[in-house]
Amino acid sequence: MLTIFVALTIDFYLFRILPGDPAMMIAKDPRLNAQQMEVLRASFGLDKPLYVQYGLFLFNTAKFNLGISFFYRVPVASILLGRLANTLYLIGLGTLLSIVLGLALGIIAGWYRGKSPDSIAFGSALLFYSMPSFWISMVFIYAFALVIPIFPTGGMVNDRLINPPWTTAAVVSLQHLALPLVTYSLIFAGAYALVMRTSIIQILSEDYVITARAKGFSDFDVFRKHVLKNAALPSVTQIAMNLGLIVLGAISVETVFNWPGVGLLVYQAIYFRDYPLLQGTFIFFTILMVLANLIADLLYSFLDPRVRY
Amino acid sequence: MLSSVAVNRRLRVQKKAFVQFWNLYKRKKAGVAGVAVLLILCTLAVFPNVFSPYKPTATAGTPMSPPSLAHLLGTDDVGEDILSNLIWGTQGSLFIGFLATFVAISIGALVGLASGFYGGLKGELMMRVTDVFLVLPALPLMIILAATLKPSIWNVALIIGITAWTPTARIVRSAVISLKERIYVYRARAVGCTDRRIILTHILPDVVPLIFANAVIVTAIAIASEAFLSFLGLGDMTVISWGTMLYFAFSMGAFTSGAYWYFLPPGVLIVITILAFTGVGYGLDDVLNPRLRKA
Repeated sequence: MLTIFVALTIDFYLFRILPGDPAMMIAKDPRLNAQQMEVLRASFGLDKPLYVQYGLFLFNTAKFNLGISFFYRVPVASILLGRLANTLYLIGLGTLLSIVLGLALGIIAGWYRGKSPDSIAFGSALLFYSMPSFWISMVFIYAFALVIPIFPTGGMVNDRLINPPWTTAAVVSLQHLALPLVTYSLIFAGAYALVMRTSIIQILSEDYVITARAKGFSDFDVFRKHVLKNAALPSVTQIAMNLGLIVLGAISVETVFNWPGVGLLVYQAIYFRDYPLLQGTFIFFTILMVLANLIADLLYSFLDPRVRY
Repeated sequence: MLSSVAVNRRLRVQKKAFVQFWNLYKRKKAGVAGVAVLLILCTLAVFPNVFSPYKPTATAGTPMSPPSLAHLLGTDDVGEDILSNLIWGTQGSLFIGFLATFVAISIGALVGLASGFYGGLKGELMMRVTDVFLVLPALPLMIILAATLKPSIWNVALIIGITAWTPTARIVRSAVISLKERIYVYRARAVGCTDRRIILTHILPDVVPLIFANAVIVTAIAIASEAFLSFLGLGDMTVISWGTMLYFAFSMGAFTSGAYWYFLPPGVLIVITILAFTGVGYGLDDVLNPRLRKA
């Protein structure tokens, strides 16, 4: 809650210290006379003192009234709402896939530490971790849509198809989803794999694992009963700390793949200098991150019965 | 004043410490490779005019021509030589990276030292402020700041710096909390040292290696952040950096038109740089954390 509040406050004051008259930015017409500008200012509430504006801003945000986009000329909230499903679809699936992939890679690397499966898994994890997310997206489009043309270069649907039968529509939509989804997952799988590898290695050197081995448990049983659960804990913490990356991934992948979600909206808002829209996306991502952190906390208390909230 | 004998002795001690450090450090190949790569990159960054075949802003050839002998990495959409741009971009990227790191490390170290050292209301208050910053989504904040401020190279570095200081603060704070309970700190207090002196002469020296190891990682993050901001069109477009090169490559659609020589090289260099910093961080970690050494 506090986080959202602080973010909103920063958000509000940052846009108030912007150089230039906001009314001028909306009007975009130097021919308006002083009186007309006054009317415009009053209609946006810009004539009131700053603290009243701030109160109004908080009140409006609570009502999900995020102002009107300079570029689209419609309420920001409705634009966000329209794009919300697309973003959640991509990053929801992508985050899930990346966690599964990353943890699997990390487990393999940690379990076979120092042997060849480790060097392959660790090496590729490190490599993907180091790549700028938007750059991987560009490379993947170049490789899998241009050099080997098996996927479309971007977008969510094929505009040239008019009223296709649903089977075709489904295939096309999956085709459009596949490449951004894989890209998004790989970006994060690297980071998760590195975390999981470290915690597996740490757990493997614990006394109770050595004891279990001494008692003659098979590798699989040692792993399932003693390693996995204990290694999961630090990983959840680390993954929660890395959740900020979701925003990075959403913006990069959606922008390069032209995926019509909130992330692409950030790019467009910057491109058109559409400040209300940018503000709206900022609030959206802040809330998304706070929610994600909350889920991680709940998951943590579920995994570790010692922690109770 | 120190006599020349004392100066000599101090130099000898420092040299010995350095040799000891290097002997430990060089056992990790990743760390040594990282240092080597960074030295090469820094040389390129300091003397770009020596190494680059063309002026970075000169129209040196036909626009969008693929790699050839005259232009080893081809040319971009306005006919500038990509290799020359890359070499000059090293300067921009590393400069922003180091400057941002300096800002982040300074704030982080100060906040960490102060909030770790002072208990009570003062420390508690600082801790709360840090906590708020820790959970603030750094990336959206960075975008918002960059979109509202003028996109100059200084502002970009400053913005990255003030959104990247929290991990440093956290690391320094936890180190200081344990260090201030050491016997020598109590002794220093008993003989009447001021807080300032205790922090500067008894705590800071033990924290500096930690800060340094952290700075390496922060620099990698800062370079990646600069590239990301530039990619969104929020960087300083008058300065050549790998990020701005990628921005232009992206806006020209180099990846859908098949101009691989345009968008691949800057990204490859970013990856190499980040890997190099990671390698150095790994090597330093190995020296600084004796617990890891045996395992």
